[in-house]
Amino acid sequence: MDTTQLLKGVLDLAVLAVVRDADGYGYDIVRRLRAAGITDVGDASVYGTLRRLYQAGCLSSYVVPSDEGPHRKYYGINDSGRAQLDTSTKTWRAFARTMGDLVSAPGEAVA
Amino acid sequence: MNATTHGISPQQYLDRVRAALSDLPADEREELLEDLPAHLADVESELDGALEQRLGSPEEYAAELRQSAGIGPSRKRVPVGLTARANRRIAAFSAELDDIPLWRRFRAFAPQLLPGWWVLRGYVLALAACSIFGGLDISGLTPKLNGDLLLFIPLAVALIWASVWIGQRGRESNPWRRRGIYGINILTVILFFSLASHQPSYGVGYSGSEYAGPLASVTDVYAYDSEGKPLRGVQLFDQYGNPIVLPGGYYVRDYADGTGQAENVYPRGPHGPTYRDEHGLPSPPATVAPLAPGDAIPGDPPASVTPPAGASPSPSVRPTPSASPSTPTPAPSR
Repeated sequence: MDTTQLLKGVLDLAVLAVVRDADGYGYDIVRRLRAAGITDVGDASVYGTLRRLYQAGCLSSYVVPSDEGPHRKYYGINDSGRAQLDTSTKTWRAFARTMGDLVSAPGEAVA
Repeated sequence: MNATTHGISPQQYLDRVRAALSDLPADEREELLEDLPAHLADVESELDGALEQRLGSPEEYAAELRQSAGIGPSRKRVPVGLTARANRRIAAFSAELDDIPLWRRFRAFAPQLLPGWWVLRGYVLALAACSIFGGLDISGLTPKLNGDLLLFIPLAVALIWASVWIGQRGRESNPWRRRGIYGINILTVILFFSLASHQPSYGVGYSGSEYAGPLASVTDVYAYDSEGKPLRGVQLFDQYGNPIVLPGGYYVRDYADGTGQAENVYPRGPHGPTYRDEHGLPSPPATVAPLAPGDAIPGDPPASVTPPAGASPSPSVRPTPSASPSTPTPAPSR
């Protein structure tokens, strides 16, 4: 199964999770996701997700001028984002548990 | 991901992503693209010119960005109108051209030629304005050196300055101004070619006579009478009575009455056929075979010709001062 397809539904959660502890600019966030093992995600998807979360009010943003090269737009999580992160985390855990049960031990489910 | 990976520059990449998002409202599009320059700079510095390998083609990037930002594939999948279609064609064509290494090198080099184009644009416009409205005499792409230069030079300096100034501003954001500049550029190209093909006009000379066709290389004429004897001091006229002055030499003879000079006197060879013969030059025959008696001329020449300079009461061609059949060397006056 293609991870890319799976990721699409949970990229919001993944992005919120990596900015939970520290603000970051777009490429920074891409790197964090990769470092966490999410390698199949396209850069553009991360940027698009950031923008969508920002528009939904889950992220705040600010621009940091740079001496060399273009300015960077940093994203940070806000209260609304944290709430969203909590809800999504719960949903994900429940879903993951269900899926885990379903695929790993079909016999137990019946019992 | 993309087989045709090559060193596409971050700016080109950005431009193509922008083009792929061109159906979005400008503010929304620019917001989407806000992070991209910094991002591309980062990727470029990390991967050393393999943008497409890492990010996919600009079009794929745009589609992914669009989708993940929740905008949907494309609001206007096929923008209507000829311009939009032409723009898409041009974008596709330029993407294909970018696959040719030589073209990429030219594209990288071309911006250095821009200032030259700006200067040329100002110059051509000034030249055209002066020659159309100011009566400036031009020959090809250069003005004639005369008093009108006092008008031309300041105007050329002003227009070149303006043209360079406009060029340096870079791409105009106002669409109407941009169209205006396109229009001026097209006009400049047209003017350039029409000025460049402008035939320089000669001040002196051969007005009224065309030397094309078989006579183009003729520079002298030897006439023989019906007996086959060479004639000297022959004045030639065309069917309108205009003197026939061949190119290839400036040769005049004074009129006997001192009223002017004739340029249509032949032969011009200062010493006639024998002179040329002695010097190994191509020589006309000293005599030619006489004609059979009869009407050798199918049509009548003009009943009388107007003498070239000054009015003459006589209806006949006036003789040149030394026109004597027995004297072989009429001295040309120069």
